[in-house]
Amino acid sequence: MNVNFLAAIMILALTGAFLPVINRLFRISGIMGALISSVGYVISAFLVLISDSGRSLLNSFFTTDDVTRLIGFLILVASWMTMLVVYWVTQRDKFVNELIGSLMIATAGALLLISAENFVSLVIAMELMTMPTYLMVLFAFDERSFEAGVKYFFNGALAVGTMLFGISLLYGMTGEFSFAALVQNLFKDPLVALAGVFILAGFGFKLTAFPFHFWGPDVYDGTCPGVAALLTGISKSAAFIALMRVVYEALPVISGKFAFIFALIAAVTMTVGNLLALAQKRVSRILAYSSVAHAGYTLIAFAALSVPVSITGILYHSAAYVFMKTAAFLSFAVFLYVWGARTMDDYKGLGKREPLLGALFLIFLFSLAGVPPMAGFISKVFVFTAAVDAGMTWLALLGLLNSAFSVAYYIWIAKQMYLEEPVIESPINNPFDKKFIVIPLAVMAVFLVVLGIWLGPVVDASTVYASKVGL
Amino acid sequence: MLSAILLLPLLGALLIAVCRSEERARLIALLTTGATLVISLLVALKFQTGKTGFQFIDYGDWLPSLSIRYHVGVDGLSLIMLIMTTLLTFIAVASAWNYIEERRKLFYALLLLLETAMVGVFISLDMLLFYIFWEAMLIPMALIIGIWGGERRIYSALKFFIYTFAGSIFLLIGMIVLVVIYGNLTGDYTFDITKLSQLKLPLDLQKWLFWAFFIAFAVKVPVFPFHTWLPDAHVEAPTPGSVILAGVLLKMGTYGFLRFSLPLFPDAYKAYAPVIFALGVVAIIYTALIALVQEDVKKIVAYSSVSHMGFVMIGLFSLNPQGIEGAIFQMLNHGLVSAALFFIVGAIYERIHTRQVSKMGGLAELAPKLATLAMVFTMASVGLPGTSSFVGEFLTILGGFKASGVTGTLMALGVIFGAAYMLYMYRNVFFLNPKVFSFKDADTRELLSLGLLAVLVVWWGFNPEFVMKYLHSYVGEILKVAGV
Repeated sequence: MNVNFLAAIMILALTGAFLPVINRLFRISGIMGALISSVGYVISAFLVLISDSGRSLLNSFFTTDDVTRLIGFLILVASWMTMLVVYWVTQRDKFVNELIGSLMIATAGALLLISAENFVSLVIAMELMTMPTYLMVLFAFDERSFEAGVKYFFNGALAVGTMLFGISLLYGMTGEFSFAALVQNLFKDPLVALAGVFILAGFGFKLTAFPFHFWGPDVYDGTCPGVAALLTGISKSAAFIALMRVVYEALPVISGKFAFIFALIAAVTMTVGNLLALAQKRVSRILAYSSVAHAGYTLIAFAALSVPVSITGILYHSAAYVFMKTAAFLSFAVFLYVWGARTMDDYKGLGKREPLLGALFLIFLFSLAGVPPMAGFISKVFVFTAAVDAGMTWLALLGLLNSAFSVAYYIWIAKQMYLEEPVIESPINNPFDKKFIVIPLAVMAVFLVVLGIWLGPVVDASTVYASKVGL
Repeated sequence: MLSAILLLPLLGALLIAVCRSEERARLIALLTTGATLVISLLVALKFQTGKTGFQFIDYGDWLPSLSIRYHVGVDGLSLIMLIMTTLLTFIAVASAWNYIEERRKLFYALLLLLETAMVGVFISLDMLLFYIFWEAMLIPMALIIGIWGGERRIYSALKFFIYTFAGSIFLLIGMIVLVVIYGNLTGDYTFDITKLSQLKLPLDLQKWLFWAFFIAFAVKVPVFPFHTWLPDAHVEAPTPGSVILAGVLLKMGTYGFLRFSLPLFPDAYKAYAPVIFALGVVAIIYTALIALVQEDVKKIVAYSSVSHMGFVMIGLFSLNPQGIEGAIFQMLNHGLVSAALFFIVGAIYERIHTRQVSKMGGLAELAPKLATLAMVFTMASVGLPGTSSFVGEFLTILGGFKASGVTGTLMALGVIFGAAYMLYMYRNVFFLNPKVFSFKDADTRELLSLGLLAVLVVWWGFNPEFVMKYLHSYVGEILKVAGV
């Protein structure tokens, strides 16, 4: 692991850890907290950018390659914007500094997770990313968030337990934790397949892949939407990258046999996600089920793991997804805070009341639907290209049909916002700095459009990675 | 130069976005579309008609490692479509001048974005670029219908969006399959149309891909039975929206058949020609009969569009020079005529706020100028010799006859129905007993824009070679590619 990248993680985590302490000691105001953590974000983003030079250490546990740098930078930006919006919608709460601190530690965990190259460090990083979110889910302190918190905790514990069991099986047979050592083992033991199943199931929980998706919508809906943005966007994208490393670097031999299972899970996940999203009335649940569906799209690329373009698909979808899903939930958070809008009916005419925010939300929704020129479109092109290239045209076709399906509910939100007359008369909160909150969302929209047009960075990173894993 | 045409409306839209006055928006839009039209005419002037292949090529690397490139250029077909697009957008701004009263800034910005997307569709030589423009066009169009449309605007906008989006999905999968096959054969994963069309596919695969592309294009054209979105969208759209829809959007489908289906899947194209003939004939006659019983003037014009696009489809699949040249000419000519008819319907609606035939009558006495212009376009729609429609219809029917006698006969029969509903409509609106007693005649803006279209329609009716000369080398080339 590059020393600069490690420093980036440390600075982020320490800023997050000390923010509540500073608050206790000096009673800083909310805006000070946001400023301090912004400084932390800027420094660590800078360190991530220069992490291609400098010494490296802990090499058997972590790696810093193009994928880490690229996705790490994108995750940092998305997390920074999330922090700003979360701060803004919860600024009156006395625990806002604790919330932001946890957010930063979880982001540090995500950065660690995308560089893990060893099952031990993978589990540690995943726990570092998950532990703060157990607290964050409870943040609203109402009955729904308690229910969500308990559900999330038990499912998370189950996921890690399952994964650890799989890992210990692997260790029992090979005596190795590191990916580089594991890949050289020519697995003959049928138990390895079982270990693979357990590890995959552990990831399945994290990614809300069918049949482990039940907790997702309940938790995303029950907690406050800023936290849901972190859970669906950032932590899921990081988990995709971790799964990618496991599949391509550690266990290519058995994952090759799993291709069809991946395809099956992908097919069911996206179909279930989209169908259930269609049936929802609450906007947060629609976004939650669409996040399940998007896990399915990414798994299509995993199913096509025999061709190099599948890596482009995974990377592009993770890169686009971290922005579009996070930003969609954040827009929802802002609408909820200002207008108290939860259901589809509440969204009527909101586009007229908030032209700028509405337009941004529209960009995120269209990106999720896969409408060009946003990044969501290009990522789908790569994912489906991978499927066709791997000879799974049926899966690509199913994925495309699903995208067509999903347009129905995205455009339904757009219709409610723009084509209906407003029903909510007056905002429930009308803070003076409302114009300010457009900036973080606009930054994410710009990232989405730029990623949708400037294909170079992600594709180059994936080409390098593909040659590294020998595809 | 082509990139300038592509970028100019985009810049105009940005300018409108930063401009503060709602009034100035329409001026900016007029100037931008006017400038775009002038540049596209310059392209036409410099275009070398004798040459085959693409001219005015602009390209830049977009993603070198996968050979996805920004690549635009025009041949005869693209050029005609390009000029039609820039001309009709200009006319659409004129038709919107007083019609759009609310949220003008947003409207003109969307219209200019739409122009960029439409121009992009017709000049892209990279399939991914083409698809991006093809899809990007949906959002502004759906918003134009949904915000400024009539009573059932929301339903129509959603139907339009979902219908076309679902259709395009099949285009995307077909495209991906094509690129992957080409890439596996040559090792070059390219989206370049000129390279992809050199691919010789086995017939089985051609058939599958043909249908994947067919669904996307057929929804846009629309080919019977995919036409049900069209009457809704056309009727509910505001006048400038209808002008663009009928004038330009429908041609994207037929353009797609010529640009992709024919060169990429020539064998499947030939094999399925009889199916298209049948669908085309049904469209011509069935929708003409529907148009005959409509009460709403806009619906009559909308159904006439489906009917006329039937001629174009049969012409395209007749696979002889007359049929294809006639079809392209008819595409252009239908663009002008239907845009003008929608313009007139919109002008009437602005004045008396109804589109019901039964509530009009006798307008010829009150508005002689409008009635005269309307007469020109009605006759053009019917296919009177001396108007450009006659040339287009005649050539497509000729092409149809050469390909299959029955088809040609039925097409000719369709012309009679066409004459029937258009003339009924003209009589009921402009003659008979007056039911409307105060009606302002066309003003200068309307006279100029309709007059311009009328001059073109008559001029090209007498001198079709002026347009056709751009097409000869293109059609010769495409028929060679198809192996006829």
